[in-house]
Amino acid sequence: MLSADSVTLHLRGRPILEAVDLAVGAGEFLALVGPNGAGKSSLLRLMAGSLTPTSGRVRLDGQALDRHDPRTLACRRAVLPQSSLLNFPFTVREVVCLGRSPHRTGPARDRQVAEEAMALAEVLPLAERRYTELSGGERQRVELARVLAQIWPESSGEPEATQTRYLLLDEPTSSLDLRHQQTVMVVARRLAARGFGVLAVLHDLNLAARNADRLALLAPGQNGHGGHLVRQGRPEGVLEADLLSAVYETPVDLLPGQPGAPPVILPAQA
Amino acid sequence: MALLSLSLPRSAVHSLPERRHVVMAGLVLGLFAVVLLSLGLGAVRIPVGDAVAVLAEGLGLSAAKSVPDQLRLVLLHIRLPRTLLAALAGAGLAVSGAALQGLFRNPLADPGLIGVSSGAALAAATTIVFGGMLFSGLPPELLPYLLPLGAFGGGLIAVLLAYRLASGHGQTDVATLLLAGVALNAIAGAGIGLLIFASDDQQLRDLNFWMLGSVAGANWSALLPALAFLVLPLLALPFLGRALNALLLGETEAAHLGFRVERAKKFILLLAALATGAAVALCGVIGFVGLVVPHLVRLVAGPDHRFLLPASALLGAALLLLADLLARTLVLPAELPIGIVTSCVGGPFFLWMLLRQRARGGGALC
Repeated sequence: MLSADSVTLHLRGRPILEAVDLAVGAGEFLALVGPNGAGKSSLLRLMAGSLTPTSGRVRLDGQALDRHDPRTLACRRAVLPQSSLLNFPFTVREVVCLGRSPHRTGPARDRQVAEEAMALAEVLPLAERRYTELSGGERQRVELARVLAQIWPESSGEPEATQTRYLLLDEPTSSLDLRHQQTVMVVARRLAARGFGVLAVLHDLNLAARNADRLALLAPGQNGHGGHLVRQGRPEGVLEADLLSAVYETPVDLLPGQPGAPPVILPAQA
Repeated sequence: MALLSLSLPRSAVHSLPERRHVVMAGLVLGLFAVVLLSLGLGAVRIPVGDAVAVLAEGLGLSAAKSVPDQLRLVLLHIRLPRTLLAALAGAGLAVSGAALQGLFRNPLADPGLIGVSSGAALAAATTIVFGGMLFSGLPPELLPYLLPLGAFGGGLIAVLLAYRLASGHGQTDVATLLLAGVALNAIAGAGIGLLIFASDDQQLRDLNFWMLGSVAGANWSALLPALAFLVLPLLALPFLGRALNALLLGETEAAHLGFRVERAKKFILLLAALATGAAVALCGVIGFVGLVVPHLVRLVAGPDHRFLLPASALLGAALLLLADLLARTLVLPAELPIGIVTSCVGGPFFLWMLLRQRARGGGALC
């Protein structure tokens, strides 16, 4: 279980998040949603350990994140960044292989995992291309393949094979077309079905509602307060027109979806 | 136990690793050839057979032929230290250039351009002029260590300054980095100018080569104390290759991959300053080796630091040996300072890199 316990974050004296409780368990796809400035990405970074909470704790399996050995932690938790700084001409295959850095499974296994991860993220045809020559969407999928390679399930003999692995995604669909948005969502759902914990910041409420097991809705703080968690739970429990209209500060309509699917969320026509 | 049971084509060609084997073999052979040339060519020609015979003898093997004493003397006391110095300095500068470029995530981060070499040169020049006075109580056998130590300290201060100024929140502002280099170079230049103003004739002669860079003064008594400073980074930096690869993704990403980023950064800065400082202490400021060499290696074999660092060491050694060969044979019986040769080649190369980056639409600084 990856959990934030009453986490508060201030950056340069400015409150960003206040008293947030959140937990991702094994076999669950949890989506963080909310308007701009609500602190979704900050919360994800707290859960990833790249930001330290001002108060409160982030724990993995009951132990504070910074008490875990960095390399062991990296073997079971990967983070997809919003954008990448990489500007050296690695090939796509090399970038994906970087995801194997924390593992000591040998080059043959690393290559095999990289191939499988590239296939899953649909970037196998790009394998020999240079990363610097790719479009924004292609880069995002390559990064996805890299983080998948990082937490790829080991062959059953490995000791870590029994521990839950976590994938944290920061706006994984931001520069993707419809088809590849769907690819990412299918990957996230499939990982959750296999027992991974998946936490994703998603902008698109409909995408989140259709794919995630649970939603956590964050609202920006007002009058010098940080962002806070308004509601979390199954999509149908979170997606209420009044609640969303209030949090997003714009009227929202809910249209009934297909049978068995959550409602479709639209901004109300003026 | 794949997430997707796809049958993958087994024919996926790993062309890059194969190319790297070829490049590495070529570099080793090339360096070997240039070393033999460097030992043989000069005011006195030493046939390859004689050179090999003397070296074999030095290694305890019986000499197959007798070599005139004069040639033996020239080889052991002039050519060999000079060759070793040029090779190690070239390797050190190239490796520290490659490491700094990885750390700063920019191919323009050369120890000369960002002011590390000047910082080392200023400290070395200070040691030459004031060292005797300041450390007069020191046992004389420790004095040869002062120069490389001082240069290392100066280089370290400069690299830390550059890093402080240009890096924050895991990102490097390249414009600031290069402008900080301009400022550091100017400050060091002024400092060295003052030292020249204050120095006597002998010190002036000693200082002169800092301006231009030279391996002509190589002798065993100066070379041996600095050897450790040069060899340690050459051996240690390649072990940071994986960390440097991860750092290219960004510091946060490297941390997520399980690397202890702050520790790795400290080691990289220290070792790069050590290599640059030792090279500057022994042969003055030799520009552009740290810029050109890693760039050439990346062009042919990609940016993987596990390959880039050792390959840059080999190519840097070979290229500086070649530059030294040119420097001492072009205007016989006189010699050109080697720094002039590397700048003549490196300056235009730098301009070409800038033009190429602009042509790609990326702007000059990204």
